[in-house]
Amino acid sequence: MEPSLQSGALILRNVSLYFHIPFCEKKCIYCDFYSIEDQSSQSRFVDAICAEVDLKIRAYPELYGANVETIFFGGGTPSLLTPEELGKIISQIKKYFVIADDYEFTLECNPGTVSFEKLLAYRALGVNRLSFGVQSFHEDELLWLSRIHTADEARLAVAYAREAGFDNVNIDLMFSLPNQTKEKLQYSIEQALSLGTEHISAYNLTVEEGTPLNRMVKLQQVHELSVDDASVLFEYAQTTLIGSGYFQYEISNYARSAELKCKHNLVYWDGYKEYVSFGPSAHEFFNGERSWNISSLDSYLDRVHSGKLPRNNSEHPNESERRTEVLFCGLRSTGVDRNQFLNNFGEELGLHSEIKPLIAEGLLKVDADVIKLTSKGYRFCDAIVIRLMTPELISL
Amino acid sequence: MSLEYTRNFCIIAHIDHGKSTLADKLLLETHTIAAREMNYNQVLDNMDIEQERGITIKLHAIMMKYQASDGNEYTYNMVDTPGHVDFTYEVSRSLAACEGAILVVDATQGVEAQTITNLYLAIDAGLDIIPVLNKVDLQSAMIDDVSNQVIELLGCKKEDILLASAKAGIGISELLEAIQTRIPAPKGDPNGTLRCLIFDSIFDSYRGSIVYMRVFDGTISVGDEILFMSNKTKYRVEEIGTLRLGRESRKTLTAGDVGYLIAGVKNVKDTRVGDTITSFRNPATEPISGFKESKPMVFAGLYPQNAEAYTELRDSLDKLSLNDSSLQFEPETSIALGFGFRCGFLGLLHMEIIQERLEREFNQSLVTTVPNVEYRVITETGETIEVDNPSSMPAPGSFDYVEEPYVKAQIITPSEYVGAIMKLATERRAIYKTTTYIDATRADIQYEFPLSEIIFDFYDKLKSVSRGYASLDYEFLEYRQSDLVKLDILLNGDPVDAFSTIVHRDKAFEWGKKLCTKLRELIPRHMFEVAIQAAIGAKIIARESVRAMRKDVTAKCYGGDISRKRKLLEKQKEGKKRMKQIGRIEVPQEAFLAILQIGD
Repeated sequence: MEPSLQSGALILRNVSLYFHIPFCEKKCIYCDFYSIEDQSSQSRFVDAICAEVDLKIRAYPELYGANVETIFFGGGTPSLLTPEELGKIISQIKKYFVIADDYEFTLECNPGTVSFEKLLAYRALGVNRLSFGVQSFHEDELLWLSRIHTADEARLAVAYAREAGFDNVNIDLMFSLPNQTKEKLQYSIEQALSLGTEHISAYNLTVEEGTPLNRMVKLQQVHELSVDDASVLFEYAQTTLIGSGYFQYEISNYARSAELKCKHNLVYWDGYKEYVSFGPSAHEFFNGERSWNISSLDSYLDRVHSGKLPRNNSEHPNESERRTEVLFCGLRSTGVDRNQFLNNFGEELGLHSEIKPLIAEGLLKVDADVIKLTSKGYRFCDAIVIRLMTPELISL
Repeated sequence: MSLEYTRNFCIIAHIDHGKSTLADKLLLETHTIAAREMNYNQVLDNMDIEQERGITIKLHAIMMKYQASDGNEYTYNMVDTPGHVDFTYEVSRSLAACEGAILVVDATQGVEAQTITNLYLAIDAGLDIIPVLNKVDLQSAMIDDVSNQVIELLGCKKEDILLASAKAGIGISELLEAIQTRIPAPKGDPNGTLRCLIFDSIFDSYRGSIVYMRVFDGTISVGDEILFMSNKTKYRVEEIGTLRLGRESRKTLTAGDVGYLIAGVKNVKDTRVGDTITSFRNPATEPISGFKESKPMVFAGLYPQNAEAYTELRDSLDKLSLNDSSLQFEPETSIALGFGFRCGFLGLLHMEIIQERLEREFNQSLVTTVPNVEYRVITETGETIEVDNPSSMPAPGSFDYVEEPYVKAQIITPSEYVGAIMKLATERRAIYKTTTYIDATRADIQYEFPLSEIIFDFYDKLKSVSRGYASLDYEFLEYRQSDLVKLDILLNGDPVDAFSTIVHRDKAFEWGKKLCTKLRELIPRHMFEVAIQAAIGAKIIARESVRAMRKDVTAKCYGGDISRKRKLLEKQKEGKKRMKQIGRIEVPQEAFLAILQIGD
């Protein structure tokens, strides 16, 4: 990436940036992220999101010159952006921020929307990580999920990425589809493994409120896999991926090596780190405040056009809420840092009365620095968090 | 106040037959209360729970002034009666304070069991009855049929029955006049030895116990030294008066009057319903007859959800019992539930009311065990042990036999449901006595029931097999020998004392099986398997298991999910508060009442 602002001798404030691109060729039945199929206002949107960057800097002058460690373009389908559009947004970023030397810049791609040229152009703009929403290598499953691409197109997309010089590629897989057998999942995982990507995200299908899938389940047109069957697939995915040289660093995320973990997502799971976000429905965490933009492109465009931040609402989690956030974020990924926890909440989590039983049950690992889940523990993350949710302040 | 111009009466009615509305109309018509003061709520029922359940629990009284057509002004004291089977004794004491009763029957529903029971109480107490058919303006009113039922019951003439609609204001002035002409004036000697009947008392945190009473003989004045005859305690009268919407103090009350008394009594347990107040210096030789110690019929353990709340729960029970002399409690310990209280209640409704008041007014989170009756264990040596907690039942073989309480029950039902009711009664070990027909369509069936068979869900079942038409009333009969066994429940091999119940041997297997199945539904999945077993002594009679949970995790959690995820976890955590930890097993509170949900 071309140098942006010059970093001075000052200690810079680190920040991550998220951009939400709310367009899709077609909405998938399971997806609860904000997106629309009508792409007619895409260029107006690009101008608006650039304007939002200006507005944000005006509202938070302390962001000016901050050190950007990671950038993530999610959606929606960010790969619907033309290289020119993406370039515009990147110029805006560079106008105000310092980009760290070892920055990570991920762009989510739908395999049905990419060409070699496009990926090459993205690469030239500084994107250094691609995340492909592949989900499955079975045509029937892809069709059912209402994906717009075939399994071959997914393979081709990864090949284009390689050809364009990307050495950090993720593919998303989805399991526990209705009636999915272990054999079917096995095939998809084998196909993914054969592509040799640096990173694989494997998600248990979640029926989210407000999605077409949710309606189908309610109308009993579709039957969710039982928790027992789903956990068989979860364990299968876990053992297969780990057995193939990936290591699990979050409930649904596997990387080939520690360096290849998704740094941007680790910011979310760190529990303390700040991220600033742009685009409709985007969430940020900055200055101890969680806030989120309105989930409507029209309102978003209107608001930004009239010079206002397109914010929907915000909240300022109190200490006990922060404690819970840090717990579930940390535990679901790389663990809770004991010292940091002590400094922030005045509590030595390692002395919590539930810790010993959790270790004995094989769910938790504790060393001098970090408290983290075992691979069995990952399967019970929610139940474990609840057991640790009541603070135990031990007076010394 | 002259006796001649006083009338003391009460209203007898089944729930929903319109007693409160009728009472309100009498108060309006006599200008005791202005329409604007009436509000939405009915005046007589002034506890939230009463209003919600549409029933009257606590007794109250109110005085009205009535300008009669004979040109004289009369003082009417209307004494309220509780309307539920749990409170028969309290009803009888209220009736004893009156000379007459208004019998309200819903013209669309007809006579119900509870009405009959209370009516008989009133007749036994020598009260004159004014029958009133309410809701006669409704399309569905069956005036002739219901009139015939009333004539059959009372042996009155058709002309004696007043037709009214409390809601529409029909028949109210006729009723007010009838009270004057048909209910006799109280008798009593204002100069005789003081005798007052306590028909209720409430607790006021500033004044102590406030006694509601009827003066039968003599005159009572502020400053008098008085004696409560049942427990021979002496107090000095601080305040007396009559009951309007609030209390109106007077210097004296005299024979025939209904009013209140405050004498610095610190505890309602010292001012017991049915007791007689007399003069300390010149005491009556005989109390007013009918006084009984109120005796709890139903027992259950109440435990705090969190052990730390034990003291708070005790204080709350203390406070409640100040106002409710029929609530009994003593500390008990459960291996499963920790420290709590064994409480005695008049009946299941009384228990539910206490539970609700503890939860709502005192903010207590409770775990309640399955209610049971009090058993009598007769040892080999002929000694009697009273057992009010199944877990304290002696081991089989260590005693001679067990007795359980029986009640005399009356069920009134449209005749088409007789068959279904008989079937239900048989399942509940009832002993059939007689059936009589009140009229062509309504049967009055008499049974003897083990009390334990009707305290659970019998009333609901009765209502459901009769489409809501059958009504039930019962009273204690006697203790009888029964073939009873203690049924234990084990979770992962450990008996949970709070689940123990005493059941008839013939039903034990079925109950054990159903209870295990119900618990399997109620106990959530854990990270390990939970075995549920039912046992009689050392013998396992049923087994179920809750399979281990294999996964409990949210698949995705990114920047936009964190607030939502946190709230979800907080909610789940809150849900855990309704769980009781027994060893490593989390048991939801409702599981302790699972037996109540077991269908037949």
